[in-house]
Amino acid sequence: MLLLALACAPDETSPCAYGFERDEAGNCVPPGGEDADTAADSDTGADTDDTADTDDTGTWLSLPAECAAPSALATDPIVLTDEVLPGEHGGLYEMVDIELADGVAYAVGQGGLLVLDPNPGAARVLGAGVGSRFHRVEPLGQGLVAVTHRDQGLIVVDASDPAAPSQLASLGASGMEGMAAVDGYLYVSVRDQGVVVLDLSDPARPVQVGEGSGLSAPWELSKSREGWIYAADNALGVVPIDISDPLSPVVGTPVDLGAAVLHVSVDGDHLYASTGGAGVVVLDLSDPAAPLPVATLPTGGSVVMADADEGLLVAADHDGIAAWDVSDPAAPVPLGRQATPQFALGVALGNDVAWVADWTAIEGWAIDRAAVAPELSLSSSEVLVPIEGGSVELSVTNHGAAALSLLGATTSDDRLAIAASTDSLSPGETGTLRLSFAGDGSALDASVCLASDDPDDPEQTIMVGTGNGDPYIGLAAPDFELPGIDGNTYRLSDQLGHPVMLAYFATW
Amino acid sequence: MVVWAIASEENNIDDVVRFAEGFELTLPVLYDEGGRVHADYVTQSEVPSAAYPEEWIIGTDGVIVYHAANYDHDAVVDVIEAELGGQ
Repeated sequence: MLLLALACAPDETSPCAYGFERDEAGNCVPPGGEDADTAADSDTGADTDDTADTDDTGTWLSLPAECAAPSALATDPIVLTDEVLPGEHGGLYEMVDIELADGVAYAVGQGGLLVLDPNPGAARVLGAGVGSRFHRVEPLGQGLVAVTHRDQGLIVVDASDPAAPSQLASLGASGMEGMAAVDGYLYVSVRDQGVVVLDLSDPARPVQVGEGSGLSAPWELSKSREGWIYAADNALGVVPIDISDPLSPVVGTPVDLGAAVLHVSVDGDHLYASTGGAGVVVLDLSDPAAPLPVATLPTGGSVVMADADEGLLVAADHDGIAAWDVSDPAAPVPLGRQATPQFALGVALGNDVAWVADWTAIEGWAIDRAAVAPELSLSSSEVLVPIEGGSVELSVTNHGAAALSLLGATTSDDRLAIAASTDSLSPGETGTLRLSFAGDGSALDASVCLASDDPDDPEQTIMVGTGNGDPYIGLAAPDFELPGIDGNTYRLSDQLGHPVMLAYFATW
Repeated sequence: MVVWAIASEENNIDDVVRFAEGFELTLPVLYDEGGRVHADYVTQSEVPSAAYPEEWIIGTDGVIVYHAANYDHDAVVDVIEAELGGQ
């Protein structure tokens, strides 16, 4: 996207904003960006009317002017079974990690710890509480879990009564994050240091009994076959740690994957590394000291966590989840991708059900390994068009494992016309939808219905408007002056004459 | 065109610095302690105050031209193109 490269001015060499990355052309795009869009914008520059792009993609098709689901649809490989909203339990939200153990699911986030009964079709909250702003949870067995907090250290929680989890012990230290429980010891990664070994034989009195140095920004640890654990180090990559002497972990040579490694999960002889926009990288652990990348699985989103179990792999990528059959981990077979309602940050897999930490909800998604179906994904379901008229393009991608057909489209407003670059997309293929608004200066608030043979959403709705929907648009922006972490002071009114984008973000 | 990343009440300043370093951000990263500025912007209760990411785009004349709580690439591109095209 050309203009966010300009957006980095006055410092043209600066990296893209959080959530963006550079593409080959040097433009700032979202991780895994929308290829059709990016290519089109790069070719045509900063025109406000995309009609010139027709040359890039050839002839536009008019879809049949009808919007009805076909009578027979394929079986969907990823089906929602449960949506648990634990809001009444103290405002639990932004849940960032989830683990299955002891017959329950443990999730942590802004609201602390949540204990869930992961019974597909009947999942429910069992209990919640104990602190807040946790980053990782690690089951210790028999209803005990450890949780980490970036500033406050580690807390051992007794959840043997899931309805009333209580703090058993704490160990104050900053920078603690990832954990792996192995043979009575808990390995904890510590930012800018390495890994510490805690003896939890008396869980009420954790005692540090060993340490190893050599990690930079380790966000997660994963246990593995005997004698090894692995760190997801945001700065270094996948880092093998030799724990053959349990009290003296030896940090080995990092495997640089060319992208920040946010999470690692080991299943059998393979490790699944989550690397944001680069997707899931599969590494062969035949030589445990030198994990070898054997496959890379982009999702189109930003993969922050993945879990593998019994030959099935599921990744959470902010926008939703993606699943693969990894019976042969070197040759994963995509099963499909499914958008989740909110913001997918964590996933735990058990009995072919993916339990997804989705901002304020925990959802269960049943994976059917035998089902093969198309999956339609639009780059946006809410579109702004210029009030004076013009056209906007959306990318449409088939994230399923079967061919996708676009069967028709209708619009609620005659001033809006729809065309498509194709009406058939093979698995993984991306096409373009063009929405053209014959503007007459009056506002548009319309919807488009798009029919396809995607079994879970055969009649998708796209909202199209001229941009008056948000109550803040058109209001004067309140001026402010804020300190930057670089020591400078930034005042909005100093930028009058330049467009300014304010991107509020959270660090976790 | 100027882009500022702002962290607010959910974070402490140390987290923000570490985060910016971790992602090697060199665009201006601002710290809105206690969400004071955010509260000035979010004056209408129907908009959730704890949604991240959240983007505001302010036009050349100081008027809000875009607001969303969930990054929508196409919509942001459209708005920025319109703003820069108008200069």
